[in-house]
Amino acid sequence: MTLKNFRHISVKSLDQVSKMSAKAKGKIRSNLIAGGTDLLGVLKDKIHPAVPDLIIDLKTVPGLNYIREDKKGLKIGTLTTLAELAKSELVRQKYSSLAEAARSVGSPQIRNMATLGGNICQEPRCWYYRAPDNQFHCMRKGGHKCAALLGDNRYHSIYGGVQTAKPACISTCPGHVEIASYMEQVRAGDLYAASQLLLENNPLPAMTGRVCPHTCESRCNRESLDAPVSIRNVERFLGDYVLEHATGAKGLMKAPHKKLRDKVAIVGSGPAGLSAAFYLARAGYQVTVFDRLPKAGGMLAYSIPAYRLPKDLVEKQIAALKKMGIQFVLKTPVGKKELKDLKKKFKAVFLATGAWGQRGLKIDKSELLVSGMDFLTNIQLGKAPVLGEHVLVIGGGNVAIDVAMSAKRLGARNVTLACLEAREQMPAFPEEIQDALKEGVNLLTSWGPHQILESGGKVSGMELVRCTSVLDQNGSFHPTFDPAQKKSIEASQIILAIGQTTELEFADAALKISRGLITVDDMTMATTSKGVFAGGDVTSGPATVIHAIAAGRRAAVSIDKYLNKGKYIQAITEIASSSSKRKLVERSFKKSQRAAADSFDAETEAHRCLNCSCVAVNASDLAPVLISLNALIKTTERTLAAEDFFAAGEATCTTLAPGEVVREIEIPAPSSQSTQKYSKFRIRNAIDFPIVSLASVLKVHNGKFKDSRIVFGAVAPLPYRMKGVEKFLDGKPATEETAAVAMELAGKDAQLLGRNAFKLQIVRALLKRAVLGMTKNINTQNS
Amino acid sequence: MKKPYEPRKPRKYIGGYRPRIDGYEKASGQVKYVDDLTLKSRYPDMLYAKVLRSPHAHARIKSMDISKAEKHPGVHTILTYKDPEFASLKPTSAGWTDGVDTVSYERMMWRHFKDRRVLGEKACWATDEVGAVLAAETEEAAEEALKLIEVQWEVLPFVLDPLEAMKPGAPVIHPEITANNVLPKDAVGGSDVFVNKGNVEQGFSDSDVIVEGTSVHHNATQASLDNWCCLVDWKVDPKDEKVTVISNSYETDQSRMHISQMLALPLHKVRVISSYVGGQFGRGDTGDQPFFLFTAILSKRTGRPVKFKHTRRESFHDSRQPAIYFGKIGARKDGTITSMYFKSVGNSGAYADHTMFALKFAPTEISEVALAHIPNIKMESYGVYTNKLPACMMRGVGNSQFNLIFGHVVDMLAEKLGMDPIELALKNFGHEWGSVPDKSLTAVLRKGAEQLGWEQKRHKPGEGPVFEGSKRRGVGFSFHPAWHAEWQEERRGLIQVGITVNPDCTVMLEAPTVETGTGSNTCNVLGCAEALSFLGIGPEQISWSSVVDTETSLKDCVQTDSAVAYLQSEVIAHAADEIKKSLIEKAAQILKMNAADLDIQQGQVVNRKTPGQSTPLKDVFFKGDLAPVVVKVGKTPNTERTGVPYIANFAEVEVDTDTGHTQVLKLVVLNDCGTVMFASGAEGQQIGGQVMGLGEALTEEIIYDEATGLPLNFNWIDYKIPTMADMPDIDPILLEIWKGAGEYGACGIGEGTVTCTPRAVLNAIYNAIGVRINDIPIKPEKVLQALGKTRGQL
Repeated sequence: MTLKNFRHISVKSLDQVSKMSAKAKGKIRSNLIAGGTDLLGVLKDKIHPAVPDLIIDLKTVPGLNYIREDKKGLKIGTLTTLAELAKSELVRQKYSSLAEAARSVGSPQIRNMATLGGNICQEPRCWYYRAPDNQFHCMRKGGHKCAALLGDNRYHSIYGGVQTAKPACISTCPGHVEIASYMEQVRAGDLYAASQLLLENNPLPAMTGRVCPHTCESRCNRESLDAPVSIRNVERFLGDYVLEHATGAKGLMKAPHKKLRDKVAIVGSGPAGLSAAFYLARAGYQVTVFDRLPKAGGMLAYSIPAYRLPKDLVEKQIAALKKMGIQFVLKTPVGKKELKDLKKKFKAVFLATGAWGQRGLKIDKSELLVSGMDFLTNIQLGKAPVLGEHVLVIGGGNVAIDVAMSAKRLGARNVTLACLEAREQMPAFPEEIQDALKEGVNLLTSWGPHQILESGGKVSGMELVRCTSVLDQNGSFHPTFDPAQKKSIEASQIILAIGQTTELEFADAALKISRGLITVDDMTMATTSKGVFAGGDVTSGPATVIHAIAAGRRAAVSIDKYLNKGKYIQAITEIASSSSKRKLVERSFKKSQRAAADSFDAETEAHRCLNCSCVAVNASDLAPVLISLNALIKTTERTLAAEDFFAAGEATCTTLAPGEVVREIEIPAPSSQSTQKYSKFRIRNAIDFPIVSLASVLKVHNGKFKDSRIVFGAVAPLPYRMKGVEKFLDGKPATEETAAVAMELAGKDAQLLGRNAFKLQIVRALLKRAVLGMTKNINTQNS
Repeated sequence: MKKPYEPRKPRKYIGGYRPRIDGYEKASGQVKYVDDLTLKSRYPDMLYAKVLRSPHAHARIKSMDISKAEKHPGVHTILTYKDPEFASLKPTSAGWTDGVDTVSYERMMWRHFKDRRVLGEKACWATDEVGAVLAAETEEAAEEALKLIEVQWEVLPFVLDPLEAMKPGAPVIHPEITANNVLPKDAVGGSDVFVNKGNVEQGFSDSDVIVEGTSVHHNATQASLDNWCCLVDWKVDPKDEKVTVISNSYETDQSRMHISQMLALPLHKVRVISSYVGGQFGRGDTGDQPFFLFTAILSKRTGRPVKFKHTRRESFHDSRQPAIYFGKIGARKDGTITSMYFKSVGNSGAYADHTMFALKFAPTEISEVALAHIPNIKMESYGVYTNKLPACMMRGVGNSQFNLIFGHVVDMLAEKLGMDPIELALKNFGHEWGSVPDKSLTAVLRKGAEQLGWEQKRHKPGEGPVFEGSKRRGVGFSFHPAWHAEWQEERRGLIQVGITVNPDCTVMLEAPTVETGTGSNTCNVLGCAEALSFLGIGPEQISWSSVVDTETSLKDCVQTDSAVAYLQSEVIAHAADEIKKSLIEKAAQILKMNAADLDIQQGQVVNRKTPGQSTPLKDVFFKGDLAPVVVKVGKTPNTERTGVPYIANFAEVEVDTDTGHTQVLKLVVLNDCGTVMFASGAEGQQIGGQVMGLGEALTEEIIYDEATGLPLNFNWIDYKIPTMADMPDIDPILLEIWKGAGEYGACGIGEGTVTCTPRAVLNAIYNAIGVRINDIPIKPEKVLQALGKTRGQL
């Protein structure tokens, strides 16, 4: 590919770099990049999402190319070339593994140019990461999926991955629920910690575990292996656990004894209201929730049928919230006057009144139609409607399905659902459509209402007309019909479920309304009326429970910010900063069945979670050596241990901040009794990066190992120090038996992906050689 | 240590060890390759072309919006699949190159599989050329503009594995050609069972011992350094319309013919020029050349010269035809083979190209030569479309693939019979016109065994000594009948050469062929010097032009195979006889003597009647009209059946059973050349061939992401060509045992140097570790799995 034009500056000092970087702070992204293969990949193959506009060449900085030794040990300038390291008599004598590693890099031409500093700043090795034009949208480049995880991962990590971005499940979830993290806790058997994590973003998991559409599952990467993880069932399980353990000494749903002075009113006790109430109450606010209906819960209590969400569970959820000190004032409609009062009595008001109005049909005799929302609410209010033999439901969304299924369960013999959309275009979730069909609901897709048929003032049926398309070219709702195709359906009752609208009688002039929705700032949920916030269906139109919960969570953060400068409620943190060192995470690739709700073991299901993360490796030859030699990395900002230098972030393998540059490497003088070794396994004897490398510093004292350092390269996203093996070796002789146990230990933590199992055998082989290589030393000592 | 080869008969120039004629020019960087010939400084108004490439393995364009791309600064013209120039263009195939002879559209070799559209709407593999092509002032603008073309794709299901592609319900890639992805029977390659001699079933029941096995050959790429490139300058002046093409194609006359026929231009209006090409290895025989046509169309539309060039990444777009082979042999206890059966499934990739050439043509010929003494043989082959890159020729056409199974079952049979495989081979294999043991086969096998130390190093499989705790060594070999002898070049048609002798007795040799690095140019010049040695000149007095231009009168000798190394020299030898006659006549005229009395020896005109007296020819000429003497001669290759030369490879390997790493310790490569035309060049071919063969055996393969069908390693870090550090000691051995009918009776050896390397290495690995692995490349993971040291998929 061709090179895009870029500016090029050769600097004369590292300070110049820091200054340039500070000047550009926030405006541009800067990255330290190894000059050879990485820079070419970025410039020619365009492996980063953006091609750099400016390249700062550091090689022109004078005085950074040196190898010298003092009392502290060896000091190497960052611009020392690998060829110089490999040739240096001093390095070869006393720091032999460093010389061996330097000599193993690339080819002679590369070693003559490449520097120590560049080598340790290399970007990860992964052919998906390095695919041109960001073909695979990997997790380090703004994607949510690791293509290598289930793809060709023969050279990838065998010791876990690192999360460099939110996995697809989390990024898809409107509530950004930390699914991967709570799954990890469930796997560890810590349900309490898992519940705590879950509650951070979702205070109603017992509810959502039953009614959320779980778009997270539709994006679950495990799908291409066997089936998506049943996140809903794990969530439901944890939700029930939360309700069981809501109170008590370590209660999961507790508010502080000492309340804040600030009072907050919440209008509407649906998911948005309850979510805001939970986070506010947990922070110590005095929260009162108002609702016009006799039971709290809003849609959870009324419009979602009991077969999907048992009503005693909703009550249990409300009870748990009440125990936190949240006041519920029910059967209290809030109108214009009441809102005015609330604004006076409370420091802040959150409007979460939902979308309870039924969208109507402009058709003759439409007064004979029944509203779907009323139909569902009445069932919960105990006013079971009288249904005839034949019920016709108009609409293709989830509410329509709920109505149809409820009608069926209430005893209607024949329930037909007619909608404009074709089957695959129906807004209802496919699984729910499937359930409705299973229960015997007749489905008439691509049919629209044409005329209500009546006899004696009562509905007798409806004439439908063929709908040829629903949306116009711009994707707007604009149905077209073929009047030549008509059909009549017999019906004693026709229920309309073609969408809900908000009911905004309470709205005063200060509250801006647009298209029937309260206008709010997307981030803060603040309305145009000071101290008044709004969220949920009343601002977005009908959406899912988790959308409403997320809105409630955001409103709570914003109200806290409004009242107390954000002192008590933390905003949901986005991806942690790229410089933080990340934990290696485990996963299981064993093919397995997706657990059904009735035979469910949360821990087993959580083990199915792949914990999507980057499985690229750090393939620097010098990185493991520096860790094994206890090196210090001195940058323009700080001095840190080599072990803390390497990290996995977006397009980086180090903890370097933008503008921060490695200045010098310092290696303490090794003990004269120790033996250093660098072994590199690769396909070809030149050019190749390691598939497995081992930097070891071993010492045998009185025939026994002591103070061993064992660091593997290219087997994990970070250089991988085997502390377990080091500890085991302590005090053991260099025998076949010792080697065998060490090899066994090396395998214990391995998390093999689909195709890279062979790398473990190579890890074992290199480890065995390192251990047995010391037999010779013992023999020499004995003689 | 190897010794220089021993020539059958002493010659002055042919066969010598010396630098190649273009060695200095190339080593010093002075050679002008196509990219140098088409620099912007030479064509200031030149535009750069880029073609849209599919991001999907299998997809169809639903709609396309080029409005944003058109507005991009620097963009001159965008043409799409909907433009009449493309919509009306005939479909084509790899066969348009044909490789050997110049053919018309109707006589294309694989005319049954015209499955390629030049800029169609359907993509059959990830990065296929589809939908749109554009010309811009700079390469960068062209590349940026491509990204601005908005395409609505209909993404289709895809299949990468040929066995999966054959199953019912698999995505169908070319429904217009086949409903089940299996290439239909063709007129050239014949039916699916293309060899059926005797009765194989009877043969197997008559045998005492039967062995069977499989082998798998994956994609390996030619890795030519010189990326595909062309410049087309289409002058549209109605009075003087002319298309000039400068390219690194190695077939200028065929290119002219194809462009003429596809674009409906008379031949004299098309001029094709090629010069040195930096590596070919069969790449030019693939169907990857529709770019000639779209570049030409862009030039016509814009009225400006347009250049198209592959990027390094795109240089991976050609590869060897992968094949899965099943083989079975039956033999009597004494080692007499009674029956042989081979079945192959080739992964054609997205387009058929020369698939059936690899799967049928090469094995058919082998059945007539090496297997001529086997009474019962059956062979069947299936070429299968998949959504991988189209695969084709690479340093040989199917011989490598066949050798992988052939050398495998022969080794298995020898083991089962308790025979040395060398003895088994000599007992059974030869050729149609001779008796066993075959002289050439005996020579390559005996010499190879001696050079490697076969007797001393061979041991029972997996039972040799252990080195450094975990390393085991083993030896193996494989052999194959060579091809590209003169009688095998029947399809080539006329070979034309011209010799011009200047008054000062220097020579201008016209032997048009595009030098691709094989050294055929040096062979020609040496052949010419040899043939004209009566002039008393050497190679230094002969000039040869690297530029092949269809505007000169002679047809180029297509560099499709290594036979060019001797084919032109054979004709030059005839031309030398002709020119000697003309020179004598001219001298007689000037000297006013009787031509019958004159001869030319060592550059001197000699009067037979007055021995001892002579005049330098040069002096004679300078008394005349100073017009050079010219002859042009055309000749078809001699089709007289002369027997078959053999090739063989011996290998010694060391396998680390702890890590699975295989290090090859020694390779012996033997080629019976008939006559060695240029020893340094031939040994260079032998050594280079080992790098390629070893790469195919151990490291080289194109890796695809199975979820998307996208290739993952189109770069020279992850596609692993062996480096100097990986190469073992190589003994290149040249032999002159067989001889063809012509003056030199040589054969091409370039392809034959690679053919047996993988199987020799594989048999050596088996000898080392006692477990057979037959799926190349043999990477460490495969060795570890075979040894039971790792589990899991590979």
